[in-house]
Amino acid sequence: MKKLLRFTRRRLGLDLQMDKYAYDIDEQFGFMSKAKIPDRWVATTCGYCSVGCGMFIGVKKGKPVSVRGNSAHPVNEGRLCPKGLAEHYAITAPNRALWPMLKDRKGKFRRTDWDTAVKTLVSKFRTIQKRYGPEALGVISTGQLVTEEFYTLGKLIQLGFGVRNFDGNTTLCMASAVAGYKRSFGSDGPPGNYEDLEKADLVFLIGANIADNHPILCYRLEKNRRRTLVVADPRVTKTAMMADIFLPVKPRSDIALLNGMAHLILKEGKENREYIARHTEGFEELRRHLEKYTPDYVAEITGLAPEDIRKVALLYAEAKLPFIGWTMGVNHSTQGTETVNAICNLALLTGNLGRVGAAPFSITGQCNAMGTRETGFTSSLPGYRKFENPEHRRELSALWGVAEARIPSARGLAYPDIIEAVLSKKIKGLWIIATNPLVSFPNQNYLLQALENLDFLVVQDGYHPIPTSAAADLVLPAAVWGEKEGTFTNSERRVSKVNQAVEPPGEARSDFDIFLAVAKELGVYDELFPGWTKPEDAFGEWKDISRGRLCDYSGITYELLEEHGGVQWPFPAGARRDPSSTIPLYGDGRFQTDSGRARLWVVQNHRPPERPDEEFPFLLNTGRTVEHWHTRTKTGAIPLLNRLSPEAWVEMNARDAARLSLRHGDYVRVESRRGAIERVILRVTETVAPGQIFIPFHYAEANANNLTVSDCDPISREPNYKQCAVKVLAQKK
Amino acid sequence: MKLTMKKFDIIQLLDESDLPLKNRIDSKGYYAPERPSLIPAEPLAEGEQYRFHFDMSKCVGCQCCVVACNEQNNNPAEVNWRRVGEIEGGTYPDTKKFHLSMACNHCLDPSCLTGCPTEAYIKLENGIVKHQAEECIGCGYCSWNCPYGVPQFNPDRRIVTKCDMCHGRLKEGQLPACIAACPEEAIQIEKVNVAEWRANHTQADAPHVPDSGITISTTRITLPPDVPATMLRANRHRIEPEQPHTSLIFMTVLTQLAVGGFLTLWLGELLSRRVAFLAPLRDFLAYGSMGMLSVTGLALFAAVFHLGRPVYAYKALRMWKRSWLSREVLSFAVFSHLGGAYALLELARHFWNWPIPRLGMDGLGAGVVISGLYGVYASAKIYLVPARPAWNTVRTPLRFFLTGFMLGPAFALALYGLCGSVAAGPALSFLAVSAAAGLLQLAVLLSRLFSLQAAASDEMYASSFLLIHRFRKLFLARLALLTLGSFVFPLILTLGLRDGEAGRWACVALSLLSFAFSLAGEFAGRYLFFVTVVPKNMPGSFFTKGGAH
Repeated sequence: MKKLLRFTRRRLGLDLQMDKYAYDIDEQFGFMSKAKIPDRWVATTCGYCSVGCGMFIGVKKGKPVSVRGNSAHPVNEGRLCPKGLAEHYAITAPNRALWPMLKDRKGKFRRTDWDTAVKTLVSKFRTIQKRYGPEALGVISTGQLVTEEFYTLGKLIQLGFGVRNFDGNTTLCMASAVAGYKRSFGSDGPPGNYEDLEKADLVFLIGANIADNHPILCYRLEKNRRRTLVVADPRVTKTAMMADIFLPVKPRSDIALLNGMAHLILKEGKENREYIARHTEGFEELRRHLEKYTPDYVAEITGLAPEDIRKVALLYAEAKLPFIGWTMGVNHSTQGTETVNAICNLALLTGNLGRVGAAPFSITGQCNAMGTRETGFTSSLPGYRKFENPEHRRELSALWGVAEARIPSARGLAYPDIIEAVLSKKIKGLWIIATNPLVSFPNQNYLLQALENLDFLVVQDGYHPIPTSAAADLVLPAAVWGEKEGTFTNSERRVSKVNQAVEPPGEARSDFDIFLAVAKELGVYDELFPGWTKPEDAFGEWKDISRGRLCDYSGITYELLEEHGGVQWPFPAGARRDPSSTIPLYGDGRFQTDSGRARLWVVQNHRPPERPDEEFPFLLNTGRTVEHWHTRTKTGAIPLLNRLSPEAWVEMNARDAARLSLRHGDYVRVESRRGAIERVILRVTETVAPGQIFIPFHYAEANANNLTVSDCDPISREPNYKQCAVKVLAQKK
Repeated sequence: MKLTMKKFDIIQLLDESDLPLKNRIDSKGYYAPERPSLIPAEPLAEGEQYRFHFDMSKCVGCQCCVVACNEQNNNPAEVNWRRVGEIEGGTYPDTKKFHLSMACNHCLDPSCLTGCPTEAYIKLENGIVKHQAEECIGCGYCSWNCPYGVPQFNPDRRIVTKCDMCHGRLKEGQLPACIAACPEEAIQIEKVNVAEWRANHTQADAPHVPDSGITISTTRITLPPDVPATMLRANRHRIEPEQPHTSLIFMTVLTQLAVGGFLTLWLGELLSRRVAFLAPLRDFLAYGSMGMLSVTGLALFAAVFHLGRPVYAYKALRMWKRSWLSREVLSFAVFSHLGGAYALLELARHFWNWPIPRLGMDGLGAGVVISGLYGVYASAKIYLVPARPAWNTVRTPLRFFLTGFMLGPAFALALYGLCGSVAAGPALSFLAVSAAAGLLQLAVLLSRLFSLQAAASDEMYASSFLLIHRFRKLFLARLALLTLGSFVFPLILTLGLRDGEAGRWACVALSLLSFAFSLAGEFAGRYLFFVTVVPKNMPGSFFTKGGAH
């Protein structure tokens, strides 16, 4: 009745909802929508990408109603990207997971209680381990967890369950950067800082579309008025439009370009001989190898003009503070690691690292990919320790008080290899945490086939149903960003605090609580997590573990983080420097290798694993759009963002479209040897080269990963998302 | 006391002297980034107003401004006061892709304001064109008038709303939300000398942005240095119909019918005194005018439901000095009242033989006819807006009047048959007027089609595309209905028409058929009129129609 009255009043025009659309003065942010003025602002760090912007969540009557950028935060100075500006909606999205759900025999989800859920998880996994061996279990986690959770999970899996097959979706994202840094510098850890973008006189972005993917870095870059911006990308991206010099490289020719630049630098005698002699090894081999990368040879591979290659090489060599930034254009490749090495070669040959402004810098993907890299247990042991180093294992066994034999001496399976082991029935139980492989994993048909072979699949996520949770046997509802506490580390090694603003919905619990509950059921709580109740307990132990390591957190406290909005590691206990200050790595030229010298690598440019041919004449490139985050479990449920990019599209050059009689706005089918996607809208554009097409990878409904190849980088195990062969067919509207 | 940002407290913050945040607090005490260069520091001088400046060479199309604007104003997702469009030119790899972020242009000649029938719009002294929710009746006429698609209907409030340059924030010395959010500092507020800008406003123009001369947009757009000669809109594939405005279809067609009908009756009555064969008409006058009155009532009732706030329909009278919509409402109000008086008096004269002076009735009838004709003219003027090129031609008033002259006599004839014996004289006259109007209507229709196709503008081309492709069947049906209703049935009727009772019911049936077909044809035509107009707008992004969704 009340509803009817309200409807009638509104329909007649008697109710303008003046209150809902009124304005008022907020104590902190001034004039704004009254409905969005909260009872309190909770400081936190953005939970989307790795830029790590400081922000506030406005909480009104226990609900998140608004967000604002934190102008005191050293990263973003108050700015946020469109996803960040609408981030409170991700918490209140209608597709949140509310209750533990167990699939019954008929395949229908039934609500269950936490006790049963945790007991089921442990007993199922234990049974699988008993029946098929301890390694028959796999765990795939994510760069979305806070560091404390990831650290706790690592201990739980490796020491509790005694399983090495533990990896994160970070392997789909920046594993090549990790592996590349390890090979070049002896350890992971991006040496640069965002301040470099402001201070550098040359900014060289290769395979990085920061305007779409890290808009706030554009803000930092925009403050730099004297820089020359060089962008290398096969696609004329939004970032390419910002460039002073744009290098439209052919796909997978970046190593040739980098080698060609190095060749010219040596040829012109612009290398830093002193730096090379004092701080590197492998120079002679590299020099010999580079001889063949003449401008003409490189021009043929890259499709660039020889004089452009020369121009950029000399710009880099002559710059006082040259900065190289890269993201997925480099990492998503079967040669990702080697490309990173080729980038590091350039920096080492010219001695351009270790100073603010000059660095080879991997711009990471997820909000806490860096935290998961540091706390490890996936591609390395916590604190950038090495599995194969007995000294490191001994250290950890002493710190934890567990037998050294329990600490694995070799890495377990990486993410793609876990899936392969599932397919070959070596792994029968899988626990997927806060990631959505049924959108994000390459070659979806392969993954679908693999999941059929599982005995038990647990999906722990903040959202349900999503493609992956729908396939689960057990769904554990998790708290999401804004509902839990911990720390994130951003691309520039800056540790920032993440705070709880509101309570999780339904019976959802923080991942930290879930891990502790599983540990208790497993009977390892007292041994591994004695007395732990809150994330800070994990942080305390992690500080001790990191002490003395490159990623030294020992001087960082939660209070310090909250005071400064973020502190870069290394920040050892007793550190004297201003916590807000910027600190590049390797300023002293001492690297984490056994010899203390950085390693120059001989790297060959290979062709991608699949190339266009007569049957599949297009090369497919994949990537992102600014409005969406990864698999759209969050942003797809936020109308304000989703309306701006509601469906997937295919970008195709006008010449190709004319040849195929396709028009802007037509619907097409795209097909590869592995699968197809239907009814994707065609965008005819000159931003892609003839012979190439581009499809964003966010959309489950038209999943670019139905098309992509399974090939991975042999070193990092990162998949080759960026190149595969496809054909495009017209479809009726 | 230790500062923790977890439960952040501004008062605490201000008290502490050694806090890192201290220097971030602006002069008003707000904790916000201060970027004084992005808003004018000095107050406006005489003859100046505020305006947006947009630097297209800086914008990367990140959509921050769009989202920040919605958050600032608590707007639903489908209402975007600020929108980002995309244009592209050149050939790979020398491709140029630019973005255009646009909110309200706070024009010197704001057509939203001049069209508005109420006092919903005001231009503030500082130049901001402000919309006042309480005064708005949700007629949506401003959104037809604006060439940039700026005023948008908010279905949640049932009124139109738009950007006010965050004037509440400006007053507090704060940056408008879009400016504060832009990572590229591509948007700013500046001052502009009104007279100078009026003399030369070419800097408000950009590729695919409607000509700034229409309303003298004040937004200054800095174009990148190397814009290719040919640029394409990212949303060039989105040619989509506008809303049909069902209540307006009824309202316009039926008012025109009533006016045409009254005119026919009144003229017929005048002539009947001199022309013998029209004499039988006099007995029909009372019925006829009552019929027209009923139709008018129906039309005005329908019109009210076009409004987002029907209760406040009366407010539409307010701006009769400047708004054609007000004038339309006013003249139809006069028309219906005078028509009512006329019909009642005629009724009294007919049934109770009230001695009413002929001259008085003639005068009253003239008043009805003049107010009606002016109403139809005002109706048509509403649609003559530069922002909607397919409407903005002389054909629109022609069509409206012809609709009236077609349907009015046809309706009169049908009534005539129903009310008593049919005399050939009046019946043939009705038929003749109606058929002649129908013929002209057909000519206007076909000429419209050719003129649309020949037009160079994107919007006109899109209109003809909709008419010929998307609505082809309906368009053909509309032509068929017109032909049947105006020519075929009347011809049969003419051939078979006899005086007196003989064949009266056949005549009634045919005249009803003729009227029904004609009416259906005009409804279909009016539907097409509304849906196939393609408004001017800012260029949209790939997924938006016009600039809006």
